[in-house]
Amino acid sequence: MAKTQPGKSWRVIAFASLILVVLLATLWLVYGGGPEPGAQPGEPERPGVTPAEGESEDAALVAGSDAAVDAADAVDPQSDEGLLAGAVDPSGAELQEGELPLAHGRLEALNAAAEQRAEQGTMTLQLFLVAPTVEVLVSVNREIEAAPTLESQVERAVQELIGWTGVGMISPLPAETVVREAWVSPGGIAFVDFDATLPDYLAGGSLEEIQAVYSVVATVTSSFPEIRAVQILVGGEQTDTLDGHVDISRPLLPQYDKVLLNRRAR
Amino acid sequence: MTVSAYAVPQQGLSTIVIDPGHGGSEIGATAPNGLTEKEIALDIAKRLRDLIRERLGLQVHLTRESDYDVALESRTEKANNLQADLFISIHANSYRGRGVRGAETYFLSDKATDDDARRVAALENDALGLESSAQGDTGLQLLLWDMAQTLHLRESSVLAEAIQAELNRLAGTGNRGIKQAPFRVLRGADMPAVLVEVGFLSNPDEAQSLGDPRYRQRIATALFNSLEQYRRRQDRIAGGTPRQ
Repeated sequence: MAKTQPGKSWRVIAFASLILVVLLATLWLVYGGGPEPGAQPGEPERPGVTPAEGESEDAALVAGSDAAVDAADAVDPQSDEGLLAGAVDPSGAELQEGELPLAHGRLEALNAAAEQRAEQGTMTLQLFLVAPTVEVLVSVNREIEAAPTLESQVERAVQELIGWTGVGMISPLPAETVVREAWVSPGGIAFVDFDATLPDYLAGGSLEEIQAVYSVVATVTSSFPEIRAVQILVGGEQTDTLDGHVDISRPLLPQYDKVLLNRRAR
Repeated sequence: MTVSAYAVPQQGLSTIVIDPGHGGSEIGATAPNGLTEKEIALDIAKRLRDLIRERLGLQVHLTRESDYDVALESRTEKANNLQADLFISIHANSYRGRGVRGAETYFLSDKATDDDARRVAALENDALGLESSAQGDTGLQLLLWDMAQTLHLRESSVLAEAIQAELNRLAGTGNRGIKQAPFRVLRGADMPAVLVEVGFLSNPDEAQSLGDPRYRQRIATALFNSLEQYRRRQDRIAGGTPRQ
């Protein structure tokens, strides 16, 4: 057995990789990550925090938090998407192009989803709040009365985020925050226009700014499956940053793994 | 797999740009004891500059030398114009929870994520009526500079890890790890670029420490040690690769 067979070990690795890929693909199918990321009002498609690159330690941190109201919600059933990407490129330096849901309807389709919610009377928001002990954003489901239009529903979602007074968690936005207006473009980008005074109420730290920005992005995109990205405006204008750190000059996608969760140094 | 899309580490470092966060009317965070982020950042940046000059003999430039306003985009512009090998932005954090403490090191978010956002932005351009400010002629320029930092993400993460490990060890700060976020000041840097949050001014203990020049020197030394590690690694990689 002292003879080395370099070819053989490669075959074993290749076989193991194949098994892994098949396993992950099966998981992906079983959990409904199928080709249609369609909007299902009342049942948000993208709940919670998505741990990618097998960062289960961080995911557990969130799920295990005492303050986490709905631990099951904190783990995204579609996180296998992230795992798949991680399996292909363990460095995680590159996400797969086109991995994000590209299905976006026209304004009529967007409004139809909003009308459906309005007819149902209530809708479930996923608010991304700060759990002070773990310093990451944690999602909490909140059922509210559905406003009549998509614009008003989005505006209401952000106001619920600002006005959160529940036990155990705090809003990442200052209580003084004022939403001037919200609207949605035909391509599924929500515009949330904050009053020009918002920067005055931020304490100047980057952590707070990151959480303020991404709580809005995550809350809106996860509460409204038809909305893909969020453009934050201040005083009706596009601006570079809220308070000197995070680039908000263009629409932002939720970045559950990279921004909301800690990556630990080795 | 896009390993080949990353820039090959250059042999040796010759120029480093250090960016003391904020300045002038941009105070940044303020500690309960009155200490401000802009003064902490400048002080540590100068200490780090002196260490690098004395011990490594490299070219070091600061994006600001004293207390005045510098626009975010002109900070990386300066580094690009100087063809710097590294860009290090120094900040101090603040949070509403007083108990939160420790250093954090950031590098820019993923290319794919940003690409998608940019594609969305381009698609939406017509519908918005907001195109005047961020798009138009500057759009292409922005895009090119974004791609520039993308090429350096891997090296940026290596540098970030080295810095974070040293800060945890030397300065004895709590381990908050390395993170990725779309920091405006890092976007457009055509070199490995990181942003270091040296500690929380909102934490009374850390604010007191940061007010002590000896502690700031320890932080500067930790940053220096990580740069030295990074430099040795670059030399090793570049030395082991046949030049083409």
